[in-house]
Amino acid sequence: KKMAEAPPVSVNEKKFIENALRKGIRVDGRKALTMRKLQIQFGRKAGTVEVSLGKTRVFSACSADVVKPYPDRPSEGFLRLFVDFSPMASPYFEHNRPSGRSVQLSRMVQRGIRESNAVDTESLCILSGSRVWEIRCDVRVLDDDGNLGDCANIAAVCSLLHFRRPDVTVVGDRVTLHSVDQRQPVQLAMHHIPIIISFGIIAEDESLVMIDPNRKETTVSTAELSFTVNKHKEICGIHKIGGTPLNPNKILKYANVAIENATAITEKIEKLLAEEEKSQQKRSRRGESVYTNPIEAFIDNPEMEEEKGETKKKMEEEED
Amino acid sequence: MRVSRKDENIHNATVQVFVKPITGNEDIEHMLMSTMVEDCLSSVILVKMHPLTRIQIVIQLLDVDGSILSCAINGAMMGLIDAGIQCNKLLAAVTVTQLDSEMIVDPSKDDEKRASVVVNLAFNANDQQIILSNTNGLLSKSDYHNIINTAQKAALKVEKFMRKFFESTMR
Repeated sequence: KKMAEAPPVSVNEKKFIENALRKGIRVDGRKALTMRKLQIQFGRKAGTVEVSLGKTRVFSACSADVVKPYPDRPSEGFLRLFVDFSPMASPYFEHNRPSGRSVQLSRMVQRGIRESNAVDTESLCILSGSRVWEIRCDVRVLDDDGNLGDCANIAAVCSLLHFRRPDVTVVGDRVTLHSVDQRQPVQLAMHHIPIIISFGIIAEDESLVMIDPNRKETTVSTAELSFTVNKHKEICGIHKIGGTPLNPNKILKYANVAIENATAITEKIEKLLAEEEKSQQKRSRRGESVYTNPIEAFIDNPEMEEEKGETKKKMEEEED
Repeated sequence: MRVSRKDENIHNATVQVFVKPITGNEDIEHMLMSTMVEDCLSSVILVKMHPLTRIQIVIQLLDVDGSILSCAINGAMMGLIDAGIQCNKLLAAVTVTQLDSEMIVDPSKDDEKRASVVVNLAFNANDQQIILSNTNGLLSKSDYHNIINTAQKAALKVEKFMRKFFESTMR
């Protein structure tokens, strides 16, 4: 089944990768436990980001909408995460028809962020029982050169950290959404930043482990191990599905490696976000609009744009 | 690529275009855009050279600030050239808006909103003939002619850029 997902790797290449790994080096010159270069490029719109790990590229964008909450959870907002494997990334991806592996990767990213409560959904409540924010994060895979889980996760997390939702005022039962021109939009409350680190394992006689495998290395590995961890040394998820059996001690050892790398990545993300914040302030001082309204209702109504003073969108409590 | 049974054509390649939005699922406007790009490119690609195959073009929108259809067509054209798919024409697409007597070439989102008509045109770079013409709004015949003339000049610039880009990458 794995073979149908990627072009086959010849036996010569497989042996070459294995032998190189035995000596502790990889085909592209990395050491066994060195990750590829991580590049993060924030877009013009708040919440858009393009992340690349070597040649693997992923794009992510966030949007917000106001909806009714579930009746049994009246003060919790929604965080929806979608990972889309576009045929642009690889000819083995079909449009709107994710393969088993794509679904697995997408669930791994979703669970890492949602189930570990990375985003505080209670802070997304506007009016308990009637109005909450639904934050939707769309991750689009642009180029597949291995380790899509990692890359998609970093993209989703950066997108959520970069995103700004409109500010809200609640007076009694009246909810007022402020356009981004009138009031500075607000960051999402995030408890922690989960990062996925993946390993490819070639377990023939001894376990040969490589971090951040590229596409050929993934095809050649007999087992894959992914950790969702954060810099506070908490494990949000361990994924080892099928493949050759592993010694549990080894798994714990690599969990530590994962945590080290996750900490380094988290620091890089925070640094780049701070730089982006500064450049955004410079741009807004120059008069350029930095934030765009994520909710179309503000932009489509030309009369509201012309109104001087407070531009408000009023939403009234529904009568039963 | 291999084409599915239902799309098989024993004489020609099947051209499929997908336009994916920035956020959310595909909307009717994206499906319309993909149909327009598909029809445009099907007449340009030499489909008879690859029967029983599928030529798939995926357009992922990263940031939308006006002129999106012509941007998509230009991008798809450059992608086809880069992929080495034989085409019998080089397409250059331009969007022009008109407000009163003011013409704006390559409008931004705000320009498009304020305009009274938005015209998307795609030309064959060699002989300046129109492959695609799509208008949204009201305009007079003479205005349309003026817009075509302006767009043809702009299309020449687009074509020049494409040639310069590919010639420099060849080296």
